[in-house]
Amino acid sequence: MLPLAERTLQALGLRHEHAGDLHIDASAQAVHTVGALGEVWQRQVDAAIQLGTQSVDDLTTTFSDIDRQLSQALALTQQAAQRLKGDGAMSGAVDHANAKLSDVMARIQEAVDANHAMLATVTDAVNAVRELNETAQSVERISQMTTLLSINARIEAARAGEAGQGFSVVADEVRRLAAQSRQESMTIMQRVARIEAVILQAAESAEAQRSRDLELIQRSRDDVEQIVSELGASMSEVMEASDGLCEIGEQTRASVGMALMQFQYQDRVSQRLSHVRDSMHAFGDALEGGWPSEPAAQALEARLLASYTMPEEGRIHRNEPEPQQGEGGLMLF
Amino acid sequence: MGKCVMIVDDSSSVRTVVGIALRGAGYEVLEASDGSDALKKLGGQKIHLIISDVNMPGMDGLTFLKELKKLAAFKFTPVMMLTTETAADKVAVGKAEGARAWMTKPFQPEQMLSAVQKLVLP
Repeated sequence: MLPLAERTLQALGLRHEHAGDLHIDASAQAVHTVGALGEVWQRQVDAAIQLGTQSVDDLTTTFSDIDRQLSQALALTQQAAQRLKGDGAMSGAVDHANAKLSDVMARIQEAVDANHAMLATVTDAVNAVRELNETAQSVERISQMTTLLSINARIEAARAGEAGQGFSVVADEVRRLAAQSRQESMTIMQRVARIEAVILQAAESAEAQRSRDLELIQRSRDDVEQIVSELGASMSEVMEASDGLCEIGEQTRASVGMALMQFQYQDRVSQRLSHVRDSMHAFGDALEGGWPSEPAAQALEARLLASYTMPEEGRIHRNEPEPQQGEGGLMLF
Repeated sequence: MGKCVMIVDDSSSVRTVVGIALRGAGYEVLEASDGSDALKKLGGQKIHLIISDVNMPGMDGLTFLKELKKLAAFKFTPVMMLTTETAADKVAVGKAEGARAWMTKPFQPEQMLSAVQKLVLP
């Protein structure tokens, strides 16, 4: 390898001048130019380090926020999924709704049955009223017959003459009682007729209501079955969506995590650029004393080599091929 | 409350990346930007593990390790070096000063968390 000074002059297209002063001037100019160029390189590398570091720090912060938000969203989704699925929660909720609605239907059925029982009672009342009416009619017939008997008794009393006078009084009293009985039975029959009419009306209303109730119960049962079925279908869809969300959330979080891990390489880039920058700075310092001698140049190179912290820095320095990139290793002591 | 791990690194992005991995595994995380900053932040709570870079401005990781082991409260606190350094002499110094592990960057989260789980104080 040529000495550092020779390689630099060749790179700049300069030749050694053998005339004393001109040689010195050409070298001094080259030194000055190279020194100035070195400062430019330092500044550019510094700026690149700062820009890269700031950009990656900002990106890392942003990805960190995304990771945190994803974690929160994932936790909420998993909680919801657990509530839907855990311990048969979904089927339990549908069954619970079904059971509650069945209770409601059963209570409606009880009310209808009670109504029907009342209708039966009303029917019994109607029958009782009819029997009462028949009894009243019997009393009416008995009073009519009694009146006839009293008339016959008076006729016979009249035939008996004076001996029959007492009997005639009794017959008159019987006739009066029969007439009174007849009047009462007629009153009873009128009242019974009114009661019967009211009860019949109530019975008709109850029967009509029962028909409507039965129809309502059937419609309600059909609605309940449909609601429960739709509820079950909806909850299945929600569970599927929840599972899908959980899966997507996990995949996204894993992707964000992988992206974040790649930002570690920024640290390596910054360090490597720092080593180059520091070497440029040392070179600039060395140029202040004139073009560095060969030992001084070698010292600069050794200093650069010593600053390396990563194996690949040494390989690049020696222009060796890169082996397969290895990831971080771990040594436990 | 989870176990507390301190991360010492001058790179903000490395602290963030390591912090995310540790928090995701349930650890509490305390951050410091170099050895001096870390020494100032010690003392507030129990530290179950320290993860430290080596090359840092101010106080570097190996000097920090040496100073840490002088403190009675942290004499037995495990320290894992997390660094780009691979030089055998540096690794030897770390081991001699009391480091319990040496991990090179870039790291895989699973490998780092496995090491943390092995080293962290009960």
